[in-house]
Amino acid sequence: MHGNQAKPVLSKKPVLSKKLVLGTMNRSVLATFVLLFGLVFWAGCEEEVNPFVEEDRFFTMFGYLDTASNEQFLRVIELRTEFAAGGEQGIDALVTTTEVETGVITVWRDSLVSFYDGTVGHIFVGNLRPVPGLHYTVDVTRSDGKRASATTLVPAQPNVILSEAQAAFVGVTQKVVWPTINFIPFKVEVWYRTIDTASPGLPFREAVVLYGDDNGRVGKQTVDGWEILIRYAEDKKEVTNQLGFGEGDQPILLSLGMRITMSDEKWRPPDGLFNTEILVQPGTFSNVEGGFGYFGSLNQFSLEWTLSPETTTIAGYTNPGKR
Amino acid sequence: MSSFLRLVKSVLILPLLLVFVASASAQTATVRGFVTDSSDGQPIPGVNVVLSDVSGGLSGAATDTDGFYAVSRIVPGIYKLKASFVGFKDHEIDLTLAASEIQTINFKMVVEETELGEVLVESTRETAGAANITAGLQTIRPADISLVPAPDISADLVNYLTSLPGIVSQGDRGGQLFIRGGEPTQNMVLLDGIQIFQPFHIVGFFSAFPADIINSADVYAGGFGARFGGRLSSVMDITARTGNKQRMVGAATIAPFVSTVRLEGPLLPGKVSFLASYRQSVIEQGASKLVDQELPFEFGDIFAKIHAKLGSSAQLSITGIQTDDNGRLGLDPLVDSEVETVPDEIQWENLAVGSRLIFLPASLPVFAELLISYSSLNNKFGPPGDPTQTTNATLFSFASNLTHYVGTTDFNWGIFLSSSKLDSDLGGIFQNVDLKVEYITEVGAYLEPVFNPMEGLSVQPGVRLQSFPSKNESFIEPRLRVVWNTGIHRLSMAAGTYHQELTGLNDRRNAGDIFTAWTAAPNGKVPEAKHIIAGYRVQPTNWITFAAEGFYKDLTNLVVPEWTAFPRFNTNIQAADGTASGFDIRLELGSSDKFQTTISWGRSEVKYGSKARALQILTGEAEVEYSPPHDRKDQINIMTSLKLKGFNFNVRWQFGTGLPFNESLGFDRWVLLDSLVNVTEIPGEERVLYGRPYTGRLPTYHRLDISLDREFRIGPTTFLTIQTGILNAYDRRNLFFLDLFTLRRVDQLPFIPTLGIKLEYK
Repeated sequence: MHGNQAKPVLSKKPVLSKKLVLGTMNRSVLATFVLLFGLVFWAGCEEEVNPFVEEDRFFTMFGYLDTASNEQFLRVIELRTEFAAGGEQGIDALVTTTEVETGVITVWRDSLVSFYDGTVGHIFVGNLRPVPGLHYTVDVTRSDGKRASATTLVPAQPNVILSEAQAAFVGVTQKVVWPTINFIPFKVEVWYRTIDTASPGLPFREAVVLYGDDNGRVGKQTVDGWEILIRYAEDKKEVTNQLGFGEGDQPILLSLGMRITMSDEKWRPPDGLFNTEILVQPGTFSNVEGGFGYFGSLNQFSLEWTLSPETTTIAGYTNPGKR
Repeated sequence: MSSFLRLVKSVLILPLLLVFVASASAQTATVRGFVTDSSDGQPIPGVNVVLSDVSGGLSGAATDTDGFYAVSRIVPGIYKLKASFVGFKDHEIDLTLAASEIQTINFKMVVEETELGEVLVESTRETAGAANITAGLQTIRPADISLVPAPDISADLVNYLTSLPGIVSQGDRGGQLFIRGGEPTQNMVLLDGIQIFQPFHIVGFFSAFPADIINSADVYAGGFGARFGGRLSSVMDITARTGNKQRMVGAATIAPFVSTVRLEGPLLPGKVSFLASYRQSVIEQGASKLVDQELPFEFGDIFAKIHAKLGSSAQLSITGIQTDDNGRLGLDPLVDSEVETVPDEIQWENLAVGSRLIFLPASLPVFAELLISYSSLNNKFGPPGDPTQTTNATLFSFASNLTHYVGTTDFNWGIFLSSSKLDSDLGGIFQNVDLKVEYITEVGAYLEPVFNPMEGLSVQPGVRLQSFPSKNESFIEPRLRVVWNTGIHRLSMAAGTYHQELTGLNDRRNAGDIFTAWTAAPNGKVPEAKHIIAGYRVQPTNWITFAAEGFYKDLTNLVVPEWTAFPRFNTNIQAADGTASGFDIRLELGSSDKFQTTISWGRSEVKYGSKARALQILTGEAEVEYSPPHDRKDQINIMTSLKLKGFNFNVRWQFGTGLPFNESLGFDRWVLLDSLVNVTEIPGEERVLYGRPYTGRLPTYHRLDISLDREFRIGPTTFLTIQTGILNAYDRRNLFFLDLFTLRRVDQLPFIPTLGIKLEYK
């Protein structure tokens, strides 16, 4: 920059005698080389790098106990220091579950599963049907005794409040409130038990309407609990479709019910969202001691009821009392 | 916005006032001109031009990189003008100055030659000195660069830069420089005022700037003045030499890494000259065979400059440069080491051309400069012939810089306008960035007077106003620079605020991927930096210089890759704040003509703070601090140069503490349990078990390089130089890149003997 022109040095610098300068410089040369080669010698040792931190964690597990099944599954991955794009091979693990309240131990069996992407993994299978309200501890133990474990409390059936059905412009609606549930259920189903008016002698048939995320059908958190709104007109289309009724048909509605599949109370992701980018970070969501992953449990909660004759008619069905 | 416009108006009006002030106070005289070397017509920077009156009163100036000097506010009278510079005979003339007179006195200085044995030694032009740092500014001359052992007989600017404390390189490959905590994309590199996006070659010893084409380089490691802007970290302002205006000269070199041809000479003797340089790597035929190791790098550059004297008060130069690089730096983590595959390749090309007109208005004590330039970068990464990531950046710019000499004050001001087009395809590496073709216009002005209230004291406050109309953003950036020379001591400080709208995005998680996409600030927040630097320098004798300097940079709205445990697949970008702080200590002994040693130690700490939600959850902290991968804590350089019986012996030892890397607990496989997931059917994804970011440190880096060269005269003006040397003399296995996934390591260059030959026609 032209504005930065240095001003000339007008003052005199200290002057030393030539002999003194040369002598000092020779010593400087010598000192520099001694310093240089001293440093080279000091720093010359090779250093290897170990990218792995030693820690007492040995297994990762993913799975849950399901009260709807007699057979339970748990994916177990042994921590390793090698990237394995093709999945795991052998595993040194013994998997057991203990029903905490009773002390009953179940030994799980290993199976090597090939997945659709060509990778393989170890799925342990346990033959047990979990009991709602009981704790289960899973232990994954290496032959040297190193262990990872996790405990889950199988959710028990909670209370439920069924509101009166309401007839409105959009048709009949009815609220079902689960007061103790504070998280979105994994699954919400409403079943309709019907008989075709054209063939009243035939056994009843059920249509199951799966409530999805669309239009908030799985419900929402309110001050009273988890609230799910049944919109009968919308469900009627699905029932008609599933059971093959005609568009104007009014099948007999014997009863209906709701079934929600609910996870245990620890199965709650941070911020209430299953965000892949966050949950993939080890330790952000885990209940495993001595390892990573999650071991949870599921239960299905059900409620069955009938509609009043008037509501049944408004909802597009025939009341069974007229059979 | 309205206050911004008022400020812009003020900045533009003030210089006009200066013209009137200059005219009104024009009872004094001004002497100005250009100083050149009589042998080749090159400008000589750093020449002391002193005016002495009959009573012994002194006033003066030193020439800048154009060889320009100006001494103003001179009382009319009779003076003796004396110009002196090491290696040249003093130039003296008598002159008489009348009131209001502006005299333009250009003169040529004659080289002082000495006989030494059979060899005619031309006195070398002065080195600027590694310890000659002033508030972050280091001036580098070709003589400085030649002191560093290099694999090529023609020295290169970058080889010198990496020997300075505070400048961290990835090593001998990659071409990435981190200056005092800043990232490579935060450095502005200018060649004759033309911005070059990515000028450092893929092999770390080379840049687009061989010493043979450089006149001088001003490297601001921070705290740069209001003339510069648009970058957060540093400015490298490089001035290329002009070609020989007297006769045709040239050189050709061959060495294991690169071959060079340089040609220069007059197009119109004494008036117009050209300088052209061409370099092409020969690694495959040279260095690769020497070490019996595949070194998959290729690079080259072409440089040309035409310089014309348009009378005694104006000069025009046209500069052009083209570079190309390609190579393979790392390893693909997902590829089995046993399987033959084609690894990803990085490739980039710079093309830049610009003109620079400098002139001295006849009736005003003003130096004026007009710059017009075009620069482009094309960067690709991916399988050869089918890149997955591309970026194209083009920049047109215009700038006008003026200096008014009013008494002891130099008023610098200027205006600038640039337009850039940015077009990038990230290939999905950042999921939350949706890049599109962007056009960014920047317009602004600056004002930066230099006050000299007393002898030795220079105070340079400044303000830079820059606006991005297309983004509806404007910034006012204050700057300050103070230098106080008192006896053998020099105290200096610099401070400023900086913004960077054109942002470089890269994924530093993978050292092998240096692909950089240029874009406008992607998250809408313009990165900002605040610098403060304070330094002290002392020169008790001619052969000892000691300098110490401390710095602190506060960084906000940085763009960094989001932390993720997915192994090196795509991720998001996120904003981070940070700080960089540290100090440098430099000791220089001896002088460049016999023996010179420079010892420097740089200590720094760079911290980024991330508010990534995953890290917050993991640590329970609102902001997680970590050291980014370029945070080298300590760096020591020892350089020694000895000249004896015509031989030049250069040694450099570099030491750096280890760079941060991500430690892990190992690998597992991850299944997202977000619903009724059937774990017997979902394979999950391979995961690396990272904890906090960058907790590990790679091994220390150190290396000894040695070179020995001698020039032989084989004709009246023909010289042959033979250089031999050793790179990495004790064969240290310095790590360039550790692949966590395969545990394979890529080391930097091993022990390499070099032999270079240069044939030069002077």
